[in-house]
Amino acid sequence: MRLRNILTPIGIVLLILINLTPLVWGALTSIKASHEIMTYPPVVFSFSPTLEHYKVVLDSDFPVALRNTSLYAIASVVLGVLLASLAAYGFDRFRFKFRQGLFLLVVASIPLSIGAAALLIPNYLYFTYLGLTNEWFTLTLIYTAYTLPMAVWIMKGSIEGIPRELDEAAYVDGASSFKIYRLVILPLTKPALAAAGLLLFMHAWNEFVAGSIMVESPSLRPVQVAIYQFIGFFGRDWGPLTAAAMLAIIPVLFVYLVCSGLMISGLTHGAVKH
Amino acid sequence: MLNRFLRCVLASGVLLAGLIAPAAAQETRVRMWSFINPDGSDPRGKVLARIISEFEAKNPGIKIVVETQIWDQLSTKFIAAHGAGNAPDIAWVHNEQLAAAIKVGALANINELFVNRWPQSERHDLDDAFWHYGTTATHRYMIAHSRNYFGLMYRPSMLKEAGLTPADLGTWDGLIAAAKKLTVRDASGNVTRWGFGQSFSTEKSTPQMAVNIMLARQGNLFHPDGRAMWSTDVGVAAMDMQIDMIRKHKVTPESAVSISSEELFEQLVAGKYAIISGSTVRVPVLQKALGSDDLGFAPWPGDKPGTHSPGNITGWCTCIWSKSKVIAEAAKFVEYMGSREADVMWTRDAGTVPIRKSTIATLKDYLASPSKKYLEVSAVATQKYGWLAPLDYTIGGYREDLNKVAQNIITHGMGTREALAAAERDFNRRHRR
Amino acid sequence: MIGLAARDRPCPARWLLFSNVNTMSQQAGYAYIAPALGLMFAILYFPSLYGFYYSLFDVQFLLPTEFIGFYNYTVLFEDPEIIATVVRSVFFTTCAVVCTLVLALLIATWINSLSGWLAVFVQVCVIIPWVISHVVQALLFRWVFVNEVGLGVYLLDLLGVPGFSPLSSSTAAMGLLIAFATWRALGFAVVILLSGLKSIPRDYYEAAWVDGATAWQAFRFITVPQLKTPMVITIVILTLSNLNNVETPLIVTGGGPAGATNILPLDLYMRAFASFDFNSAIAMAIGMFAANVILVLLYVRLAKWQV
Repeated sequence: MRLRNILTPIGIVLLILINLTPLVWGALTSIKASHEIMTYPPVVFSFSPTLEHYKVVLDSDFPVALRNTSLYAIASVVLGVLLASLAAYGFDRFRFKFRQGLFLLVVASIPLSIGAAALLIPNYLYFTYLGLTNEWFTLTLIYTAYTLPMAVWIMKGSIEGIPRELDEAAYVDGASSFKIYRLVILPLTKPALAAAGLLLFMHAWNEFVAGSIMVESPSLRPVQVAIYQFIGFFGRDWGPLTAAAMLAIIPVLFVYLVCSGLMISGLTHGAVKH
Repeated sequence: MLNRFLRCVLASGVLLAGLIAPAAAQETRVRMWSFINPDGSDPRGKVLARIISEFEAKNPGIKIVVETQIWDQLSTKFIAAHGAGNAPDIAWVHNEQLAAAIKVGALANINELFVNRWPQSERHDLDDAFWHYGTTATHRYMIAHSRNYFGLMYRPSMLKEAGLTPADLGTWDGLIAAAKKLTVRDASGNVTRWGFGQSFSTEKSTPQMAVNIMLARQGNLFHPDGRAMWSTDVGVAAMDMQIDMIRKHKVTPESAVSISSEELFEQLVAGKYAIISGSTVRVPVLQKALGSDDLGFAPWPGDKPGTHSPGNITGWCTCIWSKSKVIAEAAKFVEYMGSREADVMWTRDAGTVPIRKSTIATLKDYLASPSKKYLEVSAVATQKYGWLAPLDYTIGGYREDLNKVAQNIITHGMGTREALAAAERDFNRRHRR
Repeated sequence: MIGLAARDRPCPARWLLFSNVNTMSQQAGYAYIAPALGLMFAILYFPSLYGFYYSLFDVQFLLPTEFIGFYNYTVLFEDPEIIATVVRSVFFTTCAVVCTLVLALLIATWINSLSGWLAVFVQVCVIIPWVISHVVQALLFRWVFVNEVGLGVYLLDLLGVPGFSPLSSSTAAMGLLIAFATWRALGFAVVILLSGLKSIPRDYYEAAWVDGATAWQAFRFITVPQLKTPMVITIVILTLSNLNNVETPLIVTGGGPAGATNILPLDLYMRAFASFDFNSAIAMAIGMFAANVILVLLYVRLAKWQV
């Protein structure tokens, strides 16, 4: 028993270290001078660090892309959380025709976003015909729609767990359904809201295919496409590429820490005693 | 109250629109799609930015807006955008997709737009294989920039160390002998440096030596009707020569089946290879990664000394959208981008192969320096030993098919003719021939 | 009775309380779901329907020309290699999902037993691969573990395993691909499972411990059932992700050697963007999309998950 108690953590720690190796390598690469990047044997410690790649990245239009994606992601979170919680509330608390069918439709549309790359060309044609490409709202709408099915699913799971007595108590006090949603349901679903919000942010931040096809203007470009610029026609520029990738991690990590805090604190506070 | 508020909003909206509209109307916007980013920090981006600012200074009222695209999507997206009706005014189309762009009628005729007004000397200055590419008696569709020529890349220091010169790479036997000399093994017999690097991966495939041998000996990779011409005796001999580098001469590792062309370049820099199948457009980038000029370029060996097997040529065709609303202004910019001053800037400051004979003359001293020699080598090779993809039929995927042949022979032990025949069938079926 | 305030009135059956809302509840229900469904229809469903319509035409130079019905699909199914590709995809996805789930469960359980800043630190360490740009992640993985001038190969060389070249053998290449897919998705699975773990009340475990249950029994009879929903979510998302992701096979193995790791999404990408064979590509895309949807619905049914 004791051996197992020691081995398991060690095994897991090893796993995590292996997990991190490529990324640590990427971070190291981002501070190496160009001619020290591609050597054999690979240089791990004995190099003089330089910030030239970060300078190159920040001097290009990368900061604009960072700003763009931050705005797209935040807007997507706000819109997504609102729409998903409303829809989940509707699906769970109301009875209407086709309720089950429509909900299955929502769940069945999760693949539509994940497999989106497959339908690239017709999607592009469709959005162009509608005039929806290359606008300031294009990517926000697309990102929200992509994660909405999952967000609705998560929110519904959470709302299911809120006892209806609470709804009824509020109803008896004269609250409208919207007030019930606002004052009873929302506060109790904080962890699920945080989870949905995290997913929305994450997917908006990491999405690449739609971001490269659906917008053209450099002023609207998202961050993943900007990173990909360093894998140009002339080869991979590892220095700026890794520097850009490192810069792009920071906001997401920050959001993750905030959201996971919300998720956990919400879970320990929101329980209802029977 | 609400009414008044709405009326105020509407009024200010109209006022704003009235102010902005005339200002906007004075300036003509020309949209261009390229993979080069004028806001970027790479040399080509900086040159493009300078060309744009000089053009705008000479032509007040025209504004060039570059929408940088991802290079392997650019041509496809342009053709799709043409179909959807909102293509950019100028696009850089890869030459292997030029046929498609012409067939859908996406390209304007630049003969009518400016070339017919040129003196004969101007047309002669640009005359080469690209100048006649895709042209008919009356129509011309593009000026080709950012040209690439595929051939051998090598480390001059390693050659010198082994007592070799680039001239030794002029014949196939010479290449094999040189590669053998350049392959270094350590004490336990493991290879620490390979003499000749090839890449048979199907991810972003590049043409490998079998292609060039076939071109030298049978003239084309395809029949006149577009069907693949690979399982001929010439094809079998060419593929065998390519695989023998691994099997017989042991100068290429077996991992050639999965190494990507990018990794080949990087490993040349890292010193794992002495010679690889490469391309000119990568030379400046690799020189930077090396931190020195120790990078040379030579055309493929030939069957007879003094000749070379044709190398693949590719390029980016700057084309004007046939349905552009600012076609005259777009034409002016395309003309300027290909002008004498611009080409000097492209060659001298961005390291691209010159497209004009006058550029070679103007920059004679610059091109003579050892690190820039590859520019002249590739300019000459493009003229004399180059092969451009045919335009009469689509050939998409042929590189992947031929690389798959190599994979099948090495990994699955398939016979050469059998593998080539299977690839031919795949190609023909895909193109419905 | 009528004079009493509503809250003081005795409550008969619950449905009576909502009976005067029932007529409005239909409309209210639709109103609540309308914005979300509207957005999804516009951005997800209609383009897919258009994609299906598009697949019924002969696509020349990206534009639909002649109507040819299901001809594109028949051509696709006549391709001799399609069955092998499908089998490979199923094998790869199954292995990747199982590996990821098992490892994520182990890691999440361990993190759950930690506390304070150590827990946060470990979480961040596990999360980072999920959070970094997917393309860069794949490129770095390939550089470190596959590229002959990479760190992984060098270290193995030092440890006495020379010539490590996973892409020279079909089985090793598939193993590498599965390893990468697991590595990539671990962060996501851990996040979902961890939040599920944290919502299991400690009382359950305390009660079990009082009753003398071992750790394994507690795991089997408390943890796993309580984790049903997070596990369903994780399995569905992982399956879809692995079944459809292009960057993974494209960058990590390139589909080699000789097609040993050529799975459906890569095949689709190659048809569309390397061979420019859009006809079979779009037929394959619609086919995959239909399979995806069926898979999700099947799985949800199997997990006996009620709406």
